[in-house]
Amino acid sequence: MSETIRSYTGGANLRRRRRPPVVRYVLLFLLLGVFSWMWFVTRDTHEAGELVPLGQQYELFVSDLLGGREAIAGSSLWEIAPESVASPELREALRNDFGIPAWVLNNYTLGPFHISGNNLPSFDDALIVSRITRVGCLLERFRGWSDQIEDDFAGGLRLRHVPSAGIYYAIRGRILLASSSRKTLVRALTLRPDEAVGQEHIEEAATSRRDEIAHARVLCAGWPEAAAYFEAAEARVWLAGKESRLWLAGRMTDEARSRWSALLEHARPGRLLNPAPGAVQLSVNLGLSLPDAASAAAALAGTPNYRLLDTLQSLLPEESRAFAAPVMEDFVSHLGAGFGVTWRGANPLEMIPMPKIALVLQCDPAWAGEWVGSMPAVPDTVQPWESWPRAAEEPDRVYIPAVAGPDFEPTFAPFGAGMLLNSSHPDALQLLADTPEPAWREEEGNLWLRVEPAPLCKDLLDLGRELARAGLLRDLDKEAFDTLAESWSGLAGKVETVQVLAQHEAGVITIDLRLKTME
Amino acid sequence: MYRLILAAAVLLAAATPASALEAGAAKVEITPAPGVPMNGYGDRWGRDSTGTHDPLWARCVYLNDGETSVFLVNADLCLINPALREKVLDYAPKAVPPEHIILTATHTHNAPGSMEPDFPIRFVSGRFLPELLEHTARRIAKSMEDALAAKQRAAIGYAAGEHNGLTVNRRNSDGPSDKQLGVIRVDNADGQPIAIIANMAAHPTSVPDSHHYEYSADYPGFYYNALEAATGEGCVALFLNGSEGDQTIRSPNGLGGWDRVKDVGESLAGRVKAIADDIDCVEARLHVSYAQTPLPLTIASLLPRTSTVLQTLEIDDLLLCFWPGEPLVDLGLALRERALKAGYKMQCTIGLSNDYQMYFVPEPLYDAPGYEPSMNFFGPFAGEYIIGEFVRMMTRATDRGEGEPDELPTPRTVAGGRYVTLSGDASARGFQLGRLFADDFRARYEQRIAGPIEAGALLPDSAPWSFVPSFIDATPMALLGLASGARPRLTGVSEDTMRVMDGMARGAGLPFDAIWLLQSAADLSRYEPREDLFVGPACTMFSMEGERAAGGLTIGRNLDWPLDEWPVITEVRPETGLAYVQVGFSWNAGVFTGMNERGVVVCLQRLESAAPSPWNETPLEFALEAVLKEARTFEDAVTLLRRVRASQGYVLAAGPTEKGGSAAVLDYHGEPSVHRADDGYLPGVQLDDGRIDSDTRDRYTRAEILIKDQERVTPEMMRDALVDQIEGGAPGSILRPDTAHCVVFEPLRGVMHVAFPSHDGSAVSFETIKVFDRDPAMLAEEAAAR
Repeated sequence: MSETIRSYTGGANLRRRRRPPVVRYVLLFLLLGVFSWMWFVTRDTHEAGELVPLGQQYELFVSDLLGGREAIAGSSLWEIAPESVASPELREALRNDFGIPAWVLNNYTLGPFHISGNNLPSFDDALIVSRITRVGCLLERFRGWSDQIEDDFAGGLRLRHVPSAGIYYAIRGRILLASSSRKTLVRALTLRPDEAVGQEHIEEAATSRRDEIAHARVLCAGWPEAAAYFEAAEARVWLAGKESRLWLAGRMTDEARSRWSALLEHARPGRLLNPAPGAVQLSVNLGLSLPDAASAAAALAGTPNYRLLDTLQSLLPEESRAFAAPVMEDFVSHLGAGFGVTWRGANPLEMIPMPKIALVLQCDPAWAGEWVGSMPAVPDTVQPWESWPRAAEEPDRVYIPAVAGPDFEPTFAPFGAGMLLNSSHPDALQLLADTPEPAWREEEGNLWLRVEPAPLCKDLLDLGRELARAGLLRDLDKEAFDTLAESWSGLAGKVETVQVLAQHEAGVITIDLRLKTME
Repeated sequence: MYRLILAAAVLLAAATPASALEAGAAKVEITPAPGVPMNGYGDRWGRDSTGTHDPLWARCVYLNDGETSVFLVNADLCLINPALREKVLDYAPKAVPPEHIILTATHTHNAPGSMEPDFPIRFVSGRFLPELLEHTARRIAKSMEDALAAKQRAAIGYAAGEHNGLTVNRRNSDGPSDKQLGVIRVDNADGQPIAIIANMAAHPTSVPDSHHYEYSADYPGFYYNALEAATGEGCVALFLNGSEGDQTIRSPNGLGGWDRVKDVGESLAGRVKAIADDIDCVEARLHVSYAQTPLPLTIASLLPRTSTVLQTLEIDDLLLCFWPGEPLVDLGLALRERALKAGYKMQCTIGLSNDYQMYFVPEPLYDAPGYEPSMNFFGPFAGEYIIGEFVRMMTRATDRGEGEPDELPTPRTVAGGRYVTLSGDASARGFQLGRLFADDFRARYEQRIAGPIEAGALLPDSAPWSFVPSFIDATPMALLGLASGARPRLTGVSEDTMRVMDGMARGAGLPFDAIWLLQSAADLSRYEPREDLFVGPACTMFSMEGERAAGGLTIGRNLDWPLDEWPVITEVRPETGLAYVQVGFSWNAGVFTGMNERGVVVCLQRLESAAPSPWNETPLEFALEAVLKEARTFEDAVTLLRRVRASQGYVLAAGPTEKGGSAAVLDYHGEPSVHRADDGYLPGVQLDDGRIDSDTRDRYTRAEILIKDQERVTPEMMRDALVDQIEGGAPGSILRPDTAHCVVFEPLRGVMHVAFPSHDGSAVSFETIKVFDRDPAMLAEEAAAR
């Protein structure tokens, strides 16, 4: 037996496994061709900034509308917003990705949405511009064959029209443009470079994000209602579970600044008094004393030369005018800039159902103490029930018997950074006995407002019920009132607090509104 | 035999009701701590009390005759309101049924308020303090418990004496007052008094101003102390105030301040003791009647209640009537008269009992200025109504009055309107009309009064109305104010017409004040700058008499009235006075156009271009109604109309005379001037009157062409003149777009021709109505005889 190198050639089986080189190459080329086509048709040929017209009256940047849908659906705003704005069905649709597979939906978003237009407040020319993924591009190619979507040649612009949704859209590279207005869409697709905002504008908006869910800018010229006061405005929205926040800024027109100058010319962010605790707390500091602010507000309302002091003095009973008028004038002349107002509750069983209101008026606390302490003794000729300022049993308290019960007895006392003027004597005593809170608020501004809707609503309903029982509420008898009260209580019970901080500086008014809902 | 006598005695005892009277009395102090509002005076504005001058009490007598038990409480409070009564009944001993618990207040104005849950009433009683209501109710219930616990065999007696001038009418010192001092004495088995109850009518509003905010029982406090001191331990003095609406105290010694209060209280105690000493007490029978009585409708919807509590307590021949408010003394005296007539030997009205429905004034004072009438919210006959209800509750009364008429007249259609014959007394006639046209009454009231008020159209522009925020519906207050302001206009309205309107109100289911405002709606609108609601009648009227009149006397008359109305011809057959027919609307109680059974015709035209009459002036149409009921001849009518005073307006009066028939126009601008026909023709206004407007002048100028210039005027020509329209709507058309009715009267034949123009362009057709079957010759004879 010799060592022979044997060479075997394959039989029939071997022959079957062998691919002819031509077929292999065809398949490869086909694959390459498909990928190349896919690569080609989904290439990033356009930038959003080329497709957004310059000088749009409003712009809205939504950071990640579809990506943030869970946060939006999770916001407790849905609990309190009217169903016409926030229907439960829409919320459910957001939670269920509109019934579309998530991967499909996710491929339609890549980066922020940019929405712009001119028609305010109808928004009927809104142009939506967004980047989409390559997969989104491809999906869009295939969806183009759907019978829900019609082609609109539009002189070669190749628009698509979804009649059922009333939307026109087009894809340029990986940019999706959509609008309910065909004209708007055509214009966006035919912009010359100098007519577009440019990519820097879009990027600048992206970099100015402050983790909000949406950011809007408005030029008010096309919006007559707003244009009467503002040139431009800006808004940002945050949604996070039970906390929502809306930040607004508006640049006033020269005419509005001039008109409001009496009230706002001294207003710049400053220290705010801490109002007494209560269901509604308001603190105002416009850089004007209360009498000056009242005069300015009256002038704005068309009553020039108004003096708060005159009004207050006119309320004085004739018999005490000679004494009280100079005391009141002295009091008013010592008031500083800033005051706080608090809704402390209500007494629906009073002679006239009335709220309890606590005012804190900024003044020199030392002077406040002196003023209260120096109140002269009540003359012998004055009866105990007559409206005459008199020292309370407790030190540093002055009260004035008015009409009805003690909840109608205005009471003065040094308080925090000024003087307390409480409409109710017992409530004033309670307030002064409570642990004092800081005299000033931490935040600066011109106006701070905090509302606890549930207790406020309860007070208002208690007061209203008395009027309804007497048939004194327009179009509301007792039964209708009870029905209304139930719905109001339900709504108010969903909100824990509403807080507003507003300020003015150099013609720009900023409002920061925060809403906290119940768990 | 012995057994037979025993059996008979047992049977006799079983057949005879137990008659052993038991009684107990107690008093419990109810004075709250200072610092709560006081009741009675609006000028306190709900401020708190500052101290106690003398204590306040709840004083209770328990009586039980074996069949009927009763708690009679007098509390030193301003009033007993439903919330307090309800609470007291919750805590009261169950030995006495709630319907037999009688709660009365002395009406001291220096007692706590704060027990009124209804907000509008808190303006007087101050803020509502539920804990004070609870406290007071428990203390009152305690007085019942103590009285029950003190029960013992007792006897009772009563007598009516005189208080010898301790009270006086506070509005008119010569006005009526109740001189009676009623005294009830309750003795124990030893003949010692355990309770003495006095009833006198006078306001306890005597505390001097310097103690305005201090608790005090007022003069009853001094009375209690003096009487209890005089009777010794164990006797509780009670005081039941009477029909004190317009009564106050008078110091017999002419004293003032606290001395006056003390003087009256102690003098009262002295008189009561003297009367009580002469009373022989016996074992009496008791009877209590209780009714939850519907109240007449009121325009004051702020008063939340629609019914009230009436109670009577009969002690043998004594009748006590517990009135839930403050009746004026006339009403108390009238009720006493009814009771005595029914067979009771003594009657006392106790005001401020069980409930508080403000004041009740008699009808003649309803339109009088002053506090008491303004606080009477249930119409001019509310007091009379309550008296009637008390009479129904009297066990001895035989005449319990009549209910509303069961049968209503059936209207028939005449000339497109309705013709209805009313009969019976004034109230029944009004009721028939109100019930027949109830829907129309209510619709007109809503359209002309309530609706505009609610929309703010009739509200003054000044404070406080201008300060009312938009969410407040000021209608309840505004209606009340408006009704109050319209009351003086009733001054010249006869009692008969008042009763007609009261009947209308009941029939239509509206308050009396609503009916009166409806009568005043035309004038009301003229006092506002918002005159688009509607304007008063413009009207045209003229007469032809003598030879130039085909029937001897013919009157033509158009009433121009721009609002859509239901035309109604009302034939009124009053129980006293003459029957008459008036052409008008369903709701009008006065007369714009009418003729009586003697052929006397009256027609009214107001002068729109003249200054409006003062708001407090009685509308002229109410004088015409009286004329139709009284005037038998033309001369009678003129005589009656001459007595009427009005600021403006024309009245055409016509009727049979010696020579056949005649007419006159009375021109009112204070004392009326009388104009007579010139050559037979008499226009309703004088063309040379500078106050008339050009439109009126044009119409009357046109009438001269159509009537005056004719040689002889037939009723047909009158009818044609009334429907005359100048082509193209030029000024001067006698038939205006707003003409409500056209009437031609032939008084000497007792005939009238009536048309109600439809304003849709269709021809106006007259219907002839033979109103009264009187022979004209006889009418003429009667006139001649006069």
